[in-house]
Amino acid sequence: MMARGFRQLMLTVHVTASVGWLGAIVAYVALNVPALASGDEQLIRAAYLMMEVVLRYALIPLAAVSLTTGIAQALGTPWGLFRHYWVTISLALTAFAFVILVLHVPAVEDMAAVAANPRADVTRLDGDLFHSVGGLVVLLVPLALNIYKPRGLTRYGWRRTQEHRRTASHT
Amino acid sequence: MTGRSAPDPTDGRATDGPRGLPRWVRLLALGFVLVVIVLVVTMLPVGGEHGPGRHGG
Repeated sequence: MMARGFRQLMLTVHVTASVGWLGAIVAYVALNVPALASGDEQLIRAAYLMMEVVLRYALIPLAAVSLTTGIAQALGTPWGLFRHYWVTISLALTAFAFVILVLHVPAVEDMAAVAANPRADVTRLDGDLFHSVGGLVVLLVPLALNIYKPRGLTRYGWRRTQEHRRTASHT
Repeated sequence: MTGRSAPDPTDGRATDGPRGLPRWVRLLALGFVLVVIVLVVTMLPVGGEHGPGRHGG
């Protein structure tokens, strides 16, 4: 188990990265507004180019830190990864969002490449609202679970609790 | 949400028992299934076209 000070440090990093990830998604969603609604071609090109920048240098690093510190927090504390439903579901949704994010990089690179080509028609690009809004919605579930921590031990969690009690009663 | 948080396992008073899937997990799973159905139905008209090629127009 982690020492108290280290656990608090990890929790601080985890919360910071997770909230930053959500904020970066909101910025990414905002870039879709000029991309989809503006009549200014330069602004549309800039929006698509910035989507790639936000993805590479904000979304992916923050998501990676959020996921790894979340796993470390779970493994380094009595909460565990698979003992409580809320932890396991949070892990599954966060890992799912991270994988989709990484798999989505080529699509965003394609859009940025079109936007960077002055002879390309950027009006044929159709934005990226589906993935960004979808990601935001998916990540709001672990956010709520982490705050409310609803009850519910998994079978594995129940067995581990019983083992721990038996061990404690024998000592 | 149940309105009751899981007991903090660090305080040594974890008293939950195995009562099957909690109601909030079932509701979450139901919501997930509904979202998947809605996505599949909305993607059917475009032939399920989805991914990098779609953004190229």
